[in-house]
Amino acid sequence: MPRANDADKIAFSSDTRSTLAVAWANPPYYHAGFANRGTAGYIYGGTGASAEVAGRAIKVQFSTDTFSLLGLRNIGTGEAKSGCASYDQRYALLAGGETPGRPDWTSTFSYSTETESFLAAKLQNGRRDICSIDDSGAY
Amino acid sequence: MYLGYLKSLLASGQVSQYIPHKTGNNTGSRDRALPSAPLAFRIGRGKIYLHSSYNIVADAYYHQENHKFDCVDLTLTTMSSSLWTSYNQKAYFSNSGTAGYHAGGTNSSGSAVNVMQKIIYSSDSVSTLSATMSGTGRIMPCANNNQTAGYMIGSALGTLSTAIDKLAYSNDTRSTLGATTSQARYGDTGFSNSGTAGYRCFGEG
Repeated sequence: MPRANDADKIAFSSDTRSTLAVAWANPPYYHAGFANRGTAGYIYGGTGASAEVAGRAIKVQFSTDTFSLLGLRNIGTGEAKSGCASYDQRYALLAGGETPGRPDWTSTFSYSTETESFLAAKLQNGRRDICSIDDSGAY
Repeated sequence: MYLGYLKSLLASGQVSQYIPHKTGNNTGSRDRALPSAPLAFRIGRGKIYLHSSYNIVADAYYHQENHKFDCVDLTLTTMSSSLWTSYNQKAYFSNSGTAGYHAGGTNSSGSAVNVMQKIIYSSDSVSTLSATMSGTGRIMPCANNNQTAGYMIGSALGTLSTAIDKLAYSNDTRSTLGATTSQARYGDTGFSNSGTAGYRCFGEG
């Protein structure tokens, strides 16, 4: 199937959809997303991206709905559907994926520094397609 | 002065603990011993539920594994391997503070389902909702308008869909929006600016 670079926004107040502009012809697919409420969303991992985008996290600034590339991610390229969820409105937890090495790792992504730190905690087994739901209180 | 400020935060309940936290590197675990490590205040609340029905090492689908991540001490505990129904490639969203949801996925025959399940965070109990998705699907992007509703955006298996389903948290009922996605995609993802908007990005199709 052809690669897609479209993005949609659904306004919760009206349940209507608008379409956003994306600069890159070949962003990743089979990627994961998470967000720092009120500030920015992030797209992490995935596969099939062009050289310009591969290995980098993508940031969506909510105030302008613009997409930008962050620096190279600490972890390798090609991981598929890592689990990810925000907590404390300071961090996101990332877990597992498919490649490299069928990872069982977990890591945190800091919203203040936009960098990733690996944790000692490991999954029982390498996992992909991880559902990740957060219970960090009402916000 | 610094310790006094810290004690006041602890006393007020704004912060339950603090831990040294390495950031921006790829070296592994946190280091609690080095006093020179950067300090990061951690607001002591929260847990994250991780679930996968695909075991890469065993190359086995429908081999369920569940963990609970403690956002205070950054540890994982293992939960029952029969917590959820073992559908692969489910979508998920959370009404943080109350309940989390899984939706869709594929069964052991490889067929997509329209089932939605719910975990009550206070009891870690899972139930299957009487409401179902409007169609079958797997790995849909999802968005969450916290305290109000979760959104399941499109679906993928066989014929791709542009439908957007909405689950009202107040009564766990599903409706389908008049709006649709601009394109039908596979392998896209979603995230939320909760309270404002949900986003669906990229994919194939």
